[in-house]
Amino acid sequence: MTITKANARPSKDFFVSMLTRDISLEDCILDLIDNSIDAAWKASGERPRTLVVDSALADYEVTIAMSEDAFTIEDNCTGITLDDAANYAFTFGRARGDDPDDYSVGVYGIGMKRAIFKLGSEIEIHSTYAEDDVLTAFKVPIDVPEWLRSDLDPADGSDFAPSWDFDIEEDDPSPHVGVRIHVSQLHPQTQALFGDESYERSLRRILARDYMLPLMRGLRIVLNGTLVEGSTVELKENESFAPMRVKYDDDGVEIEIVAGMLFQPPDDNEPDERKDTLSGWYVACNGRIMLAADRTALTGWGDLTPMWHRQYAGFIGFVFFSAENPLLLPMTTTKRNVDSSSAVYRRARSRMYEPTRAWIDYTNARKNDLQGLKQLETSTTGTSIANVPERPAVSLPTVTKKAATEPVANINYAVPRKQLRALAAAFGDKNMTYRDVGSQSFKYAYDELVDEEDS
Amino acid sequence: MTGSSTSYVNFSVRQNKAIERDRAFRALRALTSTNDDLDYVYVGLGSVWFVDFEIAHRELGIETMISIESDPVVFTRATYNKPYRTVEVIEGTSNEVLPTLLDDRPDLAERPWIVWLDYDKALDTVKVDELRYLIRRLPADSVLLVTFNAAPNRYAGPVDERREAFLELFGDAFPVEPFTTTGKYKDHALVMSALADGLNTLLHSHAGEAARPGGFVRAFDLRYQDGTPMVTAGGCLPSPERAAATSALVAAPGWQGLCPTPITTPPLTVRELQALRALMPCEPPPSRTSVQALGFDLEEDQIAAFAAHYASFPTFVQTAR
Repeated sequence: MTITKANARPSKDFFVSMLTRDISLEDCILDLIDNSIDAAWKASGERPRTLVVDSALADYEVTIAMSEDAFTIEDNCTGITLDDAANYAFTFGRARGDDPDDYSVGVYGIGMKRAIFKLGSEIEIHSTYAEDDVLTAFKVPIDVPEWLRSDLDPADGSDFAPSWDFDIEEDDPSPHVGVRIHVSQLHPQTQALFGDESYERSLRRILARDYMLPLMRGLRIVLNGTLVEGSTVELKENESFAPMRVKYDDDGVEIEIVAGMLFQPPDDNEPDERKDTLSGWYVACNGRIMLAADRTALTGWGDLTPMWHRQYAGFIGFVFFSAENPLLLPMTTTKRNVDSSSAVYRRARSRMYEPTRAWIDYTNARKNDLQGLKQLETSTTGTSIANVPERPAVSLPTVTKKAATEPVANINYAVPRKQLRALAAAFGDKNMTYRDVGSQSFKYAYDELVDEEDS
Repeated sequence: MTGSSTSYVNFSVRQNKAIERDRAFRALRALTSTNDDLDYVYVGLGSVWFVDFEIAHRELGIETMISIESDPVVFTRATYNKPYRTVEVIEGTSNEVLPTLLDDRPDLAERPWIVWLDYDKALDTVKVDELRYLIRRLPADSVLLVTFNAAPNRYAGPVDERREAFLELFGDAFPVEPFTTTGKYKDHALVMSALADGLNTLLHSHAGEAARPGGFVRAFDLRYQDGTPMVTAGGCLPSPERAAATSALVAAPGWQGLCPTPITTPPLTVRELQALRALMPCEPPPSRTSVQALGFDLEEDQIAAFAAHYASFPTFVQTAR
């Protein structure tokens, strides 16, 4: 028989102070960009299902401005409707009945809230959306300290039911549909990073890499006034080297694996180590890179294969998972890792083993004919990752041990120079080198005196 | 510093080096007079000339001064030549000596330092590691200045390898944006500016990574050229309570530690110098015609450089080289 109820009420402070500790600032910014890109895919009617260069997202732009004073992200995608804002967009965790959008990466319903709380404490979210072809707008202002205060028990001990809701207010529509999130009163650690010039460059590099796919499809991301250029990857190819590309379906998830040689592997005889931040495996879910240049057991290194070693530099592989239902994808909540317990991922990892193993075997065998293979490697040309044709396995040269060369003997003797010159003249060239006179003499004597069948 | 030109060249006869030093010390004077309750330690690489030590004592009133010298012969000469009783010359390289001073000398470790590492050579990973260490460990309210060779070919001979060399050294702190073509890595002025910016960004970033209370305030960017392009960069490491005042001081118009253009005044004879100085101050700079009217000639940019720095132009210089 129930005596009373144990208080299991969630605390707002948990969401504001604790959840934000599990994620880096750049991953929070990426979470906000993910929302914009999900909206762009939805608005375009296209899907992030394959690697292709086209202009499917060319109408869409995400603009980010960050400084020590404020952070703003704005897009021109669909905007959030008032109904979605009131019922779904601001819930902590995805509300029942709010299924994730098709082919999106927004699954858990915490990304935006966690991101804005991580950034600062004065927040305004504005949305302009089209309702019956008329632009309509609202805004959600959030004063975080004020919102947290309403979580405190009143001093008089009266019945307490803290409100988790945010007010939605009328606002003037922007000239186009879209969402604008403005955060001020930045937290000190956010201010410190936004005031660091190298942080912007680092973030730009991450955006170029992690949004490589939507950028290939025409999306524009503008960071502090400058367009982000997507990373380009070219795999090396010639008659001996060719990258692989396979596609298959697994339990509602479409999987595409592309792998091959990015650059010539290092020559172990060279003492200076090339700085290599590119080699390894990349894992993407619905168009977003979750794991980059991975060389850990997550992608098989040191588990299915030997541990990563500098010898293997030059290998690159991409695995693209896409699914209409993003819950089927091997994503984590931070989108900076993969769920290695996912059966779909584990099965993909065993397919990833094949090109990894082939590359390891090639680099092991390479020393048997280093010079010849280096020549082959340098004669390759680059093929954009989007243009790699379907091929079931990577092509790499078959390395055979050089045939043992016949034992040789060196002859070294002195003769009077006058006689050597005379013999050189007799051979038809008085300026012939000493070495050539010796070789010709040996050949002459050999031809005269030795029966080939006896040799 | 074995092999360093500081061991045999007295920098006081290089007029642009002298101007750079004068500006740096005017900035330091502004800072130390604001913080007149602090008892600074001056740490440098004094060689046998101790030019900066003389100024640190005379102008800033600093008594505790430490000069680090790695060359055994120069160390003996430096010990002989030290200008004041309170200058201590320590034998060793700066990356060996500085940690021992910070770890083993509580008399120093509890006071703010003004450290000026005039490397003379190009930056490399060892020097950058040393600077990172200092950013982490220098006492609150210290100042760090670094002078280094900014000739692009000292970082990579082939032009097409320079971008990678700079990125290897500075990472994301190096501003690649102005280098729109590979050829721009040959441009001395552009590379000097980028190296100063890159180093200051790296120091600022490292202070942030190390969660240094009070952070790093970028306070020095002085580029000069008497022949080889050189850069002096650095900043202040204020305590949290002095951080706002330090930032305001550095941002004020009179702060001499930041100079937007390289210091490249021409070598002048005493007669030319006296004649030109008689035209100062003059804004805009005197025209070429008015200089020609004095009886000699200079290029427009040489006149502009002189007009910008005449107040710091050394009077004892007859020729620069």
